[in-house]
Amino acid sequence: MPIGYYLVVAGLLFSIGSVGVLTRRNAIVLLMCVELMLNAVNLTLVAASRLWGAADGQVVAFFVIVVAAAEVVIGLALVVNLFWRRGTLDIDVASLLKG
Amino acid sequence: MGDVVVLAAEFELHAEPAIGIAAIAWLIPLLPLVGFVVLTFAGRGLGRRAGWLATATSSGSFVVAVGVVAQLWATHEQARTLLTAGYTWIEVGALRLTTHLLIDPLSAVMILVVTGVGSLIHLYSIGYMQGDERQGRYFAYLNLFLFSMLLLVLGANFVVLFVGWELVGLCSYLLIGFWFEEMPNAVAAKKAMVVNRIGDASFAVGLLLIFAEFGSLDFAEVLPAASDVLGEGGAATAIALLLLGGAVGKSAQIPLYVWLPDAMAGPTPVSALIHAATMVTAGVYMIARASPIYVLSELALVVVASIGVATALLAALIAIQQDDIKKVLAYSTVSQLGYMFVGVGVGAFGAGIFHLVTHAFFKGLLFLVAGSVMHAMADRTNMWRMGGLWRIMPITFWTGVVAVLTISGIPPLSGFFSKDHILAAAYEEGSTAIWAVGLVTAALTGLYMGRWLFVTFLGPKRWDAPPAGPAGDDPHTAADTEAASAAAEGTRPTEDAHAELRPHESPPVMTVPLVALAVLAAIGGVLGPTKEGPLEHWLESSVAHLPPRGGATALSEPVLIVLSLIAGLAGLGLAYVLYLRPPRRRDPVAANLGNIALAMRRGFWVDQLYDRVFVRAGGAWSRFLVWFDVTVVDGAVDGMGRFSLDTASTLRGIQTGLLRSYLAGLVLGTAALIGVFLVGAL
Amino acid sequence: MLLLAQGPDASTAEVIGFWVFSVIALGGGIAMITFRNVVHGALMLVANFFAIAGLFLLLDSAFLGIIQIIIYAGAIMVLFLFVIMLLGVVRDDLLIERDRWLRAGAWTLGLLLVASVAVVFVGPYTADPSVCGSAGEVVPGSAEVRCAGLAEALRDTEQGSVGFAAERLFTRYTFAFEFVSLLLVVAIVGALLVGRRREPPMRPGGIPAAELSGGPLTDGVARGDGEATGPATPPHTHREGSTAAPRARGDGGG
Repeated sequence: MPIGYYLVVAGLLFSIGSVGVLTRRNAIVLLMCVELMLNAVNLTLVAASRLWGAADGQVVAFFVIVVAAAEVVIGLALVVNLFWRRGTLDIDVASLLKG
Repeated sequence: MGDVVVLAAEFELHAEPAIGIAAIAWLIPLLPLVGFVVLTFAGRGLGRRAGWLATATSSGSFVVAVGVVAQLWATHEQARTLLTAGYTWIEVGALRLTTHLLIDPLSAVMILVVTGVGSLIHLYSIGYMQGDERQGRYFAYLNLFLFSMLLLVLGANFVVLFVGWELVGLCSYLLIGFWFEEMPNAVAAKKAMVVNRIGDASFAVGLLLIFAEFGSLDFAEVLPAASDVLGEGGAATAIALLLLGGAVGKSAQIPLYVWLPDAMAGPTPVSALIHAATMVTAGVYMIARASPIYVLSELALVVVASIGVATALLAALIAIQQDDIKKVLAYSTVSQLGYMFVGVGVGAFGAGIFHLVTHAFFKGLLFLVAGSVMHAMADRTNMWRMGGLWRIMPITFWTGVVAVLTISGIPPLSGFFSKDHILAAAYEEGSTAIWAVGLVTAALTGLYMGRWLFVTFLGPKRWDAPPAGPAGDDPHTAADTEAASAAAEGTRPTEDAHAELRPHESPPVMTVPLVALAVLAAIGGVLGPTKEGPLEHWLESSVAHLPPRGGATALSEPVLIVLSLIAGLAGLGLAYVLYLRPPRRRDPVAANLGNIALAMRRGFWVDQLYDRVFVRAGGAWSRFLVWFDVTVVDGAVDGMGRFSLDTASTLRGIQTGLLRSYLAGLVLGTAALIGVFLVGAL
Repeated sequence: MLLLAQGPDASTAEVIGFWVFSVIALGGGIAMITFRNVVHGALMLVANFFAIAGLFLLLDSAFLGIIQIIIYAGAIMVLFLFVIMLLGVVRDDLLIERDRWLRAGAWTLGLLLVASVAVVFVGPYTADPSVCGSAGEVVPGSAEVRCAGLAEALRDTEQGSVGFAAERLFTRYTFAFEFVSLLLVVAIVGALLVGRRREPPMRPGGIPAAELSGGPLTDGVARGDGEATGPATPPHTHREGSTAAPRARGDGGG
């Protein structure tokens, strides 16, 4: 299977994630979309790992998973905090930085 | 100009730290400074004690100065140039400035005069300023004035001199405008400040030129090297003339003399201080100090002497028709400073300094006498409303007589010798015209000083009479006099001028300085009974010398002496005829000379001329600058602000605060980057 | 089909697996971002993760595939579901971008992204020889780069996928590995701090620690104390001064 096919799938997944980030306002869905994007990147890394016959891609993907886990933990904590403060999951409510 | 003897070698030879009393010479300027600081912060609560404190600090300076000079006197003639170690003040590149104090015969003379006469004026002020609400501030300024002048004369480089120079200007501003509640006083102060600034600008440029030529501003490095570095080229003339510009401003010479007559607005002891001990002598001192540069330029010397003699004549003419007792003295100062300029201009630096010293004595005395009279006459200054005071105020009168005789050049009083030395030097140097004009001016001096003395002290009492102009028939003159006297009497916001007058002799605190100065003025001649007198001998190592040149020799020295004596006596005699026998109630000169007298009275309309030419032109220029500032400069600045605001309020739309919009930007940016690759790949 | 007509090294099993898993992954992703029910979306994401784990397996990375299932599908997604349940918000019907044009723009942007990525970066790797079944093949498009081939490598080292990856992980990347563990600890502490809702336990002296510290967070946390769960009223005055805005737009959660 040419590596390009995996890459196309990864690119599609990444784009789906980014579109989700742009179109959904639910903070939890937002986080899930980010996870999707990270997985797309992982897929690229693993595909490259196979292409080069080296384990580095897998190791980096492993790290990405760990970082993603950390990110989810913090992100969900923030979501919970946001919900308690604003009573909503709408990410657009948290717009204190509006210029 | 052949071989020029400069104070060269001595400077470098004796740049060693001063020892003995000279090692504490820094106390001389420091004491008044301490007095200034203390009085500034605590003067309000001290009341009359402020005056005593200020007098104590200045007297302390005087004592130290006497000690220093005594030590100098005892030193060998060739070793009288000492440096008191200060600290390095500024060190930038090639420029290294220290606060060392230079003690040499020239500055020794100056510190003696400044602290001595200054202390007497301090003492006198205690009586004069009694009851004033702001005594603390007054004496603080007085001390600062003294400090500034001492800094000026003691500084071992041009920059410290310049600092003192500027501080002196500041002090004159503060003190002339001391009673700033009255508009004329504030205006006079401003005028002094502005006119001085003009000269100072020239002086500062001169300093820059010196630095450009010599790479240093230290006297010890500049002056000995002057003839080597400058030669006799244009640079010496340029520097000398630029420095002269500063001296002309500070020493009130044509064309910048106009501030000094107006400076009468300050308290009278301040006038005494400005005219006698400090400030106006700075220009003469500076020229004497820079004499190694001046002797290199014949042109500069001629200019100095010409300005001096012209000023002397002009001011003397104006003084003849002034009715304000202080204005007469003011123009007299301008005139006498002209003599000093003649002295230094013909290369007789010693004679110039000698006249500076005697002038400090008799002019300080004259002003203190005038102050004493004003004190007795409820601050009245119009001499035509005085008269007959000599019985009431004997001490004031007799000291005044001494002063008038001194300034008129009657031997054996000191003024005779100093003035004669200058005239003789001018004659022997070959400037016969200058000598002649100087002689005429000497006669005029006798005339206006005699008038001043006779009208003020002698003749009938006129102080009860309704204010009558000296030339009552002449309407404009009368109005002028009235306005002048009203303005003059307004100088001190105290009693009503028309309140009942009880003239009285001044308290001892005021008469003691009078007597002291009278003695000094009388015996000051011992400093230089002949042209090679002790003072000029003393100054020899400090100033440069012009080689003797074959000038006019038609008249021998005794003839010159007799001529100048005759001139002084003639002036006094004319005054006697005109004003005392028979006694007058108004000025016969004004009545008979008509417009000429009016011109003198109005100071030849120089003020009006300056107003027309410079003040208005300056005003127009300033208005243009204001317009330029408001529309162009401010416009640009405001425009920048407005531009940022507008831009910001447009751009703030981007900052939505919505997380997703930022993410959208991120994705868009990524797409754009990929687009760049895409284009590159194709 | 073109894709089925693979080179000799592309095993049929891989081709089939690739298509199956890819379709599931892409479908799961699209479903996730379109389903309005958050729980459904989360379940779709789980499906997506499983599919990606399958793709990992196809790519000779069994270790990562297992990790993917355990951590992502197992731990992370469970965390998501927990939070969803905790907050009690299962629907966010209205929490979709309202502007149709913006939505369309987002999709266009996404497709653009895919297209450009595909053309520029992926293009060179879609040719048949890029399969890299065996080492030494030249990567098409770049004459210098040599294709190693993971299957070959695994075979050569006589290690399983786990050992192969672990060797790298614990040799060259030891420092990063340790550092990542530190990151996890920090994340846990941070999550505790940020997600904390109630007053911290009383100190021995009876003074709430929050009062002692007076940190900025305590403000909102303390205020929310009385109201239990639920999106009830957005508490209080916020500095922004327009707290009514979300409700006025009628899209307050719940």
